Amino acid sequence: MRVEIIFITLLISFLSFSISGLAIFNVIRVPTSCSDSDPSCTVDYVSSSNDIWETTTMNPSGYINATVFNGTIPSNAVIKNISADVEWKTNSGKGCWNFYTRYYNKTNGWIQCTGPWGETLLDWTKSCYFNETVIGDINTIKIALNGTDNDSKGNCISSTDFFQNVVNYTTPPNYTDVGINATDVYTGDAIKHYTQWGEQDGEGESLSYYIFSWNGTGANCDAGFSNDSALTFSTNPDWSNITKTIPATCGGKIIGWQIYANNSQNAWNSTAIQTYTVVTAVISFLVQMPANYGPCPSSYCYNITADTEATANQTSWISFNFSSSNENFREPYRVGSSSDTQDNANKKPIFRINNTGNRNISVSLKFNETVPAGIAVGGNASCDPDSSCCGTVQTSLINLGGGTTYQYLGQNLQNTTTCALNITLWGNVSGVTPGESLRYLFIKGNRSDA
Amino acid sequence: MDFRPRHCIENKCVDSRAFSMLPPYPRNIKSATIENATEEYYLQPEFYPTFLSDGFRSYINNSGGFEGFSGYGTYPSSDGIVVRNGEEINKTFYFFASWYVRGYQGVRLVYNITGDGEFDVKINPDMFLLAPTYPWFEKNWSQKVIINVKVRNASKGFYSINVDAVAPPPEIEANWSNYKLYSSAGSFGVGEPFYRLTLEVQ
Repeated sequence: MRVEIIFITLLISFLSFSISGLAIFNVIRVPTSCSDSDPSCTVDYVSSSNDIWETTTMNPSGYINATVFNGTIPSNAVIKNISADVEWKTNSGKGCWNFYTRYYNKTNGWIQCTGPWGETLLDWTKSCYFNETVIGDINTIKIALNGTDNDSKGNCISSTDFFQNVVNYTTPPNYTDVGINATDVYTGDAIKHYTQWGEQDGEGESLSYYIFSWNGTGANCDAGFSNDSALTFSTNPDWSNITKTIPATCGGKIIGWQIYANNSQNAWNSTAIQTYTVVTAVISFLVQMPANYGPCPSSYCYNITADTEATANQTSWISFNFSSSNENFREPYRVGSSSDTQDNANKKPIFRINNTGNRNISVSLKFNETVPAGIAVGGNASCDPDSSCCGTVQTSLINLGGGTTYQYLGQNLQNTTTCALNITLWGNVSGVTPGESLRYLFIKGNRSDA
Repeated sequence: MDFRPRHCIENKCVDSRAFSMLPPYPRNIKSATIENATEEYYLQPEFYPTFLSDGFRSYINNSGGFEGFSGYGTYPSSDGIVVRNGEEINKTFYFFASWYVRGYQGVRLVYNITGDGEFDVKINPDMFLLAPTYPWFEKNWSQKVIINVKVRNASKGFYSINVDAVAPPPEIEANWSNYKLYSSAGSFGVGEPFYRLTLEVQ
């Protein structure tokens, strides 16, 4: 992880630039409490530049300390610079010496900021800039003016008009929506990783770049996090959309990803690391038929061969044999074996379809052309062992023979061998002329979670 | 020594004879990857996640009164890779007979490419005979397939090489049709290719 952080840092440096004329937040903070080496300090005297002075006697040294400042800096601020400003003067000819300002850092204690200066009758405003990036430390900053009297010509007196702490900062882009466009992730899927980014109103800044980082690479999906090239935002707010195809080597593994984004002030933010688990995609199916359909004496039995839908040439092997020209709800049977004739009492499905992969499928049927007049072929389905695993099942009878478009018998069949979609066909005849007609029946599976 | 785990449901287990025609079960089967698995690994049904999660049930509680006559699938059924012009890559998948299939199945693999890029694609092998998986797994019930792709000229973007299963040509089927309960691939679709390789050309 350390390596990635370094890389990001380098990349940020590479992309760093300045745009003049764009505002950043500028907060002028004044003290709300002070203390000095004299017995008392009146904070109102040092909280504005109004020529009302707080005096401090150097005996032989002294200080005035602005202990608390108003205003807070947002926790997500990125500090551009920070200054300590002090306006003060000393009496003349009293050996005032070694005046300097300092600020308090929690880690390092008091740090000299600028100076030293000698005595002056004029009020000076002295500013010093320093690096401080810890927001909590800035919010609790203290600024002091120290001095000494280095002669014996009476006490040196320092008069302080005001302290102020000026903080220039920007805030990084914020994000409001992080996710992927899939509930389940399978190998080979093109997964969009999205985040919506925005800049706060009034900052006068714009979104600049975003960088996608993830660990879905490497020979065994084990190369660790790597960063894509930076891409530019075009509007504000805007989406960072990155589509990645999941390699099969990531099957069974947890993928982590996050997106970094910056603004025109080069302030960066990043999403938290998001994760998802990858499933190795398996597509497979099983078509079962009644056991008394086989074994077959010749190739036409079980010969449900087909190339494509357009060139299908399978042999007819499912027959409806009617004993009269007006008969309803006859089930199909196998050609050449009248003993396999099904009847209304058996109600045995002609197809039993299992989804043996791990992606849901749907099953539909159609005839290549309508069946002859006077003949109707219907179909319906049931779910075994119960309706919970088949999704939507066409339980009521629908007319398959009257049209040539696929009609679903089951949708969203789940991936378990213990769940089967049973498809039953029925034949009706009404006043038809005896004879034989051939139609092709197509079974089509659709991956319903595609 | 047979290291194969037992697959059971409530004290009913898969009959070990179901695996009797397979190579000895390797002790370190989990070390095999999709790319490097050899026959002794990929002919074990345990190599396929859907057998462990569910498929073994077919060998314990089979469907009374029904027989599996057709069914096949791919593992993995989709893959993705980042490539550049001029680059040549190999990807591996396994084309197998589904659990509980009694008959032989003739398979020919064909492909198409979505997008306008120029690719050289080779599938090896592109035609084979899958053996039954029931009542026992016969050797060659699964076939390792390598798809070789060379990117000749393609602009940046996503492309898919879609591999589907169809019936072998009649002259081949004439030789195979005498195998037990022979059927051809192509009778059942899943609404998309049985194997899809997505190429992200950069």
